[in-house]
Amino acid sequence: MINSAALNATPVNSMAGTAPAGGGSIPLGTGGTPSVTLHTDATVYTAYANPADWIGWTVVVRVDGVDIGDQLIDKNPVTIEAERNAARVAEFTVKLSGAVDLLAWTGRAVTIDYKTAAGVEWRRFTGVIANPELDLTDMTLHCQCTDDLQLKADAIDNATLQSLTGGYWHKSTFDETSKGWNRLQELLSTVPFSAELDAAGMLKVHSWEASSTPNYTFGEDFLEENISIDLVQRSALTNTVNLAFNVRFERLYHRQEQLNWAYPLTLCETIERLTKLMRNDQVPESISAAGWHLLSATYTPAWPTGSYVCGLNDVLWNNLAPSSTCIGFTAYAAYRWRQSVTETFAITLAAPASVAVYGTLPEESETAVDYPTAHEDWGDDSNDFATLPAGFNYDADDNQFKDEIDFSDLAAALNCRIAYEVETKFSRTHRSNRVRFTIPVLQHLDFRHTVAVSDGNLSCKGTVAKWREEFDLTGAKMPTMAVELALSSGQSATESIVKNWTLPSHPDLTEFDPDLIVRQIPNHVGGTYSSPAFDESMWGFFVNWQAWLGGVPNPLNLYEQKLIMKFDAIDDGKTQNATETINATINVDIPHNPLVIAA
Amino acid sequence: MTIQDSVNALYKSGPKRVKLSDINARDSIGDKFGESTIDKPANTGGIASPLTEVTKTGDNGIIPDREYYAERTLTSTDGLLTFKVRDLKKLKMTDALENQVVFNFADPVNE
Repeated sequence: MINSAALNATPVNSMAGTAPAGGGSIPLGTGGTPSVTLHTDATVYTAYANPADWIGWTVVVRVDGVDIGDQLIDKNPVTIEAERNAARVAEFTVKLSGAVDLLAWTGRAVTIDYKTAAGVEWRRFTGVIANPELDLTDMTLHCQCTDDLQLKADAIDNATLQSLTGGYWHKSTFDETSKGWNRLQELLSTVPFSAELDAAGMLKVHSWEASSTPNYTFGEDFLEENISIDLVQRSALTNTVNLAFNVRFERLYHRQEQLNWAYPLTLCETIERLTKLMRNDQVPESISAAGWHLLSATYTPAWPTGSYVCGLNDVLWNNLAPSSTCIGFTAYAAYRWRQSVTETFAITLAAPASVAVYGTLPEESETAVDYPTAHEDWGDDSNDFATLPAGFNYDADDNQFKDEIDFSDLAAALNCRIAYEVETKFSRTHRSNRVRFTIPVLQHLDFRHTVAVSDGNLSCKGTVAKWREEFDLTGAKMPTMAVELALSSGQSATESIVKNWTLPSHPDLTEFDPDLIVRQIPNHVGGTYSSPAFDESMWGFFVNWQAWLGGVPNPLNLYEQKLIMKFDAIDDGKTQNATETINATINVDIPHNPLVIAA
Repeated sequence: MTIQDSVNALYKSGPKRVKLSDINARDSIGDKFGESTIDKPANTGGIASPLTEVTKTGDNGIIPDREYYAERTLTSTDGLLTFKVRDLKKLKMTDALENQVVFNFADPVNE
């Protein structure tokens, strides 16, 4: 039958197996605008109560804006099929006549509208002809049309897709170069949503979460002979994911010590033994030679030039270099180094309610983030050792440290991966249960709706996963809509989809009551008869008696007069590549939708 | 294959399984020593020429006060000749101001 003519002439209730039920109303034939009363929450939809409503419907197919009703033939029904996360497709067949430019059919714009007997029209498809198939035996062209979902998504920038879906995205889980359709699918793999083009070709996002109260409830009179149910196989389910999320970063260390020294001899001893004083420059020289860095130093000058009493003698002390020698100092020195740390967040994602019923159905997952250091030159001589970047804290050994982690990025990475695992491994596998049935075309029924079935034998509720409408142009059948519901079998007490979880914490090594590290420089006086022989383990200030009024210095126990500065080794645990493991468990509830049958 | 299947087949991206690369071990940080002698002039700008090597008394008289690395054997490319070599480790000099100048040479054993 062609456009503008009745699609059907036979009341539905004359068809086998479609006895009407009394009462209620049917949306068939009602208007296509929001002002029309649609079935609302908890309304029992009794299919054939008013079958005459669809009599007189037509389907209006426009190609490049032109109504081609006079070319449509009833060789095949006009069909429109929509599935979540997929292109909406339509098919129709036209009879060719005259000179036809076959090559011009591909890519032509197509719209398909329904039109009631009262002339109310509403759109159900907007797209293009993707695949025309010519049948030379009867000179017909079967047109397969698509709404071009993929190409339309490709034209949308990533920020808009992010905003549209509210999905998570991080390079540790997804392709850094993805965009358009691929980016959309990545985002949708982290949230319980699907994205499709609506009847007008606008991209819309729909939740998989069933509402507590269904938008439509279908009753007993039209479902009993066409219901089919597919239950998800246990082997297809996942309810535990052992996620190893590795994070590598640099831990920067800054160690600062206070160095104290005092000359071991009195003025009189210095004069009597002709001992030497320390040059101020020995302090920076020895610190630098040790690979450390002097921050500051204050020196105690030697005794001022003058006459002093030593025992019974008056002695004259001439301080030859008061500004460059000292008999004491307090200095601060620092050292910096880096450590590579690999932190593994060993997260057990689990759906306990599902585990309790189905047993543990695990999968392994692993990914990583490598944070490069922003301080490749950490510890080099070019550093300003007196100034620390922000974010340093003290550790238990009184070192200052900072983990070079972008914590907001790490949270985003963890959230993205967890969301991905929850959505793709838990939610998608558990909501693979399907209930299929066919009803008369229900105006506006779409993916945004939660649908319940309550026909006396079957009681269930789910969200629309797919639908297919079919218009038989012969008029022998009423326009029908095959609906496929998705039901989740998470065994939990909720129908809500988990959207939040608590991330495990990065270990905090901060010591909140640090101590000042103080190093007292020892003295070693050589030339005495009790001076020990030098050995390599000795460090500090070495000075010799060079004269002795009561005798002569012991020539066997003279030292090389110098300052040997020593800084202790750093614990290997803070210098070698380190691994740390943070164990955590995140439990989530997978939604559970009712699906009960009276056997 | 339906058009939906065709469209969805275009999406091939799965989750990444990022592996961290192997990294080299880092050196330990042992005790650090640094020294500075008392007699070094505070205002010295360098070494005053000439340099005179420090000597010591050996079994056969005065000899240079040098230190050497462990003796090693070098073999000619044809394998016929071998040479025993002691590479110089430390050379001690005294400059014109009688300041000691020490040359510490690296061990060339791996050259």
